[in-house]
Amino acid sequence: MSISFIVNGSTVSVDTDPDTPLLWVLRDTLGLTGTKYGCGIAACGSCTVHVDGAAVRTCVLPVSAVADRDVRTIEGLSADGTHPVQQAWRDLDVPQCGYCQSGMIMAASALIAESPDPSDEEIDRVMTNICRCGTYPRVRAAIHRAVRGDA
Amino acid sequence: MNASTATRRAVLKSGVAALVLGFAVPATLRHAAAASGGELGAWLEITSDGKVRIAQPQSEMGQGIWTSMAQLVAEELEVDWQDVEIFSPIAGEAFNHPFYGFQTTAESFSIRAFWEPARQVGAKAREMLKRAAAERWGVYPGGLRARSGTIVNPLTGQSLAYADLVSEAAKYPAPESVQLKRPDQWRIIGRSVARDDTPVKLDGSAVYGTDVRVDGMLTAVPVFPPSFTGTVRSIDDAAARAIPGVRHIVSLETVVYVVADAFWPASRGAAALSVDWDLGDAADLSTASIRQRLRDAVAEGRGKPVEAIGDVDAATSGAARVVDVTLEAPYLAHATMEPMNTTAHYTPDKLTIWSPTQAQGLMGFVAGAVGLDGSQVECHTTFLGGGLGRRFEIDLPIHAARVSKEVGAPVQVMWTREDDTRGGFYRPAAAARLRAAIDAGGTVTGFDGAMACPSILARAVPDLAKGEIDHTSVDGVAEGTSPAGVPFHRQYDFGDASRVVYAMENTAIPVGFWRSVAHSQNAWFMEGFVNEIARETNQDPIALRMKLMKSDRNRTVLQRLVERAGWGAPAPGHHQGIAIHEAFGTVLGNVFEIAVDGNAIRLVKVTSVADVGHAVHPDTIEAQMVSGAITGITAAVWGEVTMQNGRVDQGNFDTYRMLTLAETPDFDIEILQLGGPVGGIGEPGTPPVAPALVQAVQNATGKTIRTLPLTASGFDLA
Repeated sequence: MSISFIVNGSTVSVDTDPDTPLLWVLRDTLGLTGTKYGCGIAACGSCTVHVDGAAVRTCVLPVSAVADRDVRTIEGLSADGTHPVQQAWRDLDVPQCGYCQSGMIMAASALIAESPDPSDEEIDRVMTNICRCGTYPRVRAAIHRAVRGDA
Repeated sequence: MNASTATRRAVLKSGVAALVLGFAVPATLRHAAAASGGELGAWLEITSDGKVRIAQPQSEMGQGIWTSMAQLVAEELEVDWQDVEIFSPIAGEAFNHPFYGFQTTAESFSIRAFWEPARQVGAKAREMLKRAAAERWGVYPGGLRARSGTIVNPLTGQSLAYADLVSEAAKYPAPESVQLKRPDQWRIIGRSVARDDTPVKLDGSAVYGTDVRVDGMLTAVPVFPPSFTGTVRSIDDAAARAIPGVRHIVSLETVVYVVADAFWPASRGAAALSVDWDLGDAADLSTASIRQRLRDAVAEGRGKPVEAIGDVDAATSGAARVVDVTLEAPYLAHATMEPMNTTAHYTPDKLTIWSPTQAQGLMGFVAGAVGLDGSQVECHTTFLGGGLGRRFEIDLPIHAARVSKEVGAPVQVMWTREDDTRGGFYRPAAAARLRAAIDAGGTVTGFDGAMACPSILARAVPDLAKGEIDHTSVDGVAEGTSPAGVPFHRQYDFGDASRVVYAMENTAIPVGFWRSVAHSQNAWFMEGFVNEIARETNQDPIALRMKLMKSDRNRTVLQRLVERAGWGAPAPGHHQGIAIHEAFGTVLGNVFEIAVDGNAIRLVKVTSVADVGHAVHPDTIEAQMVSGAITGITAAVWGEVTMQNGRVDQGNFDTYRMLTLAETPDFDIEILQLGGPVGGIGEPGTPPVAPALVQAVQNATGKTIRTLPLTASGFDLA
């Protein structure tokens, strides 16, 4: 069955079982491997993308749920790595192994789109992505930096 | 993990020779090299537009060596950092680890092992380039200077870019050895340059093992037996094969792979596969029974002697008091964020592997598993989404090679999170009974230790487990040398009488190298023991350690930690705990400051001080100190793999919990550079966490805690 949706500004049409999680359609059907598999139970957030601007975990989201919707992956967050979150992440060298960071960046960028200057409490509440390397202190600092600039 | 002494001597020789050979461009390649701008062997390539491509052969798993290894080469080569391009080379003998003799990333041993050799690579190349300029100008090379990718004659002002010299330079034999720059001359080493791998980790373009895509590639997902000794009796694959996209079912006796067009159909096929297993001897194995066995072993003091000095029994019987502490630690899983995977393509002439591996140099064994030899393997190393020691194992490369051979196509083996958590190679469960004989003045006059755990080396490198002694089981507690010739070390001097025995209690549960290996449990044992000596003898835990430490270096780190952390003066209502440990050439200590409300712990602050000798890239060191601590916190609070009736209880992050941002304390990090041999930093941040945190909890609650994780004693994070 054919399902159409927008990915990073372009319309795509995929012919796949509608129950296939969006994560695997992105990675294997569309070749967008920036979105990662970490757990498969929406616990870790490595699979986070934006659907109509909101952060969504795609490992448990059937592709049928994004029919005709606007999906943005890490590859499409900016044309050249210049989203304020990406800039702040670069300035503070946030990533270590980096595997969780696509999801972390998508979650952080959705957060600041909705809440332009999040408090630490709000960051605690919203940023539940798991990072095994422990980049958390820099993630917090980089979110503040993305919003407030070189503070 | 170390090679035996004899092997190591031969290996160091060939390791150095390989670096030298790395410069000699074979005659047949010189023309091609000249055309491309010139290549100075496997480590370096200088392009015609002046880009300096530096090979980085160690596995980048977050520790930042991707950047800092290249800093070593670039410093001596005298190039501008902005002209450097770092690449991951195909595995080869030119990249043999100087200590182990084969290409591998393990034991926090990249910078400290390549400290001399990598700088020699840059220095030798620099001298060869000077020689080429000298010949071009007809002058003595000793008067020439190298700076920013050019050779300059200061007397005439003439200069030539490396790109113009490299094809001539590549013809020369490399000089035997070259004087290296003094620390005051360093322009790149010691600078926290922007991490070279950061940009690709921000936009989804970094390629991890799971991202490898090869034409015609199929994906294979495993079905494991519910027992570590399970073997296939029969397979009913009708339902699995009915899933669209499923192509093959491949039995490897102890695991069955469902091979499909992509991960999703393969995983659905795996869920639909029915296997009749012979469960084998471990069908009713439980961790409870293993833990009891370890407890019994140390209570009885059985095992092989690993340390025996003086008369401990006399010291004990003559002592004013004996401090007697039994401590335990559980099995731990690695839980790297990127689950286990490897891609392999078998053909009758060649095996190509793409893997987030820590053991490139062991791929010869993988070749052997499919009837090829080591010279027929081409191994590509991707970025690792975490390694933590798990990716040193070559089980997945072997599975991928065998499945590829069976199905006649490239295959990416991909395990689910559950497969990974239940797949074994855990940090061993362990127990230790440590006793100190104390005289009336509070001085330790004797040390009697009994240790018990399964041995990693008995499976991984049996030659190093000779005499049933595994140095990775006792390092950090005992002082001595194993029958295989590997030294182990304790930072404390317990007087003229000491004895440690070790009971190797192997089971069917595969155990492996976890972040900081022995030290992950042995720092818990030793620091917990020392804290208990202080408590029972009413001695200040700092003063006691200062007395016991063998080395002024350790005392210096401890003193700085005490000052920086405001030890002894926590904020009102808070409590502190302290621990310090020496491992992988580094001395690192932590102070934990916490608040406790009933059984709920709030982690307020961690102060961490480490001496690493010299810091190549201080920012990556800071990041790894935080990283190691967070691994340690996660393990100390919740970490435990349990098994009943042969089946592991844990599976995913819902049952094997990971620390979140909200639970993370503030960190205050200080890096000391006391100028001694360079120490590693990938692992040392983890060992001192459990004892420091537990001491803080004990101070806060008055409870006695002798086992991990903290949840086993009813505690949790707030």
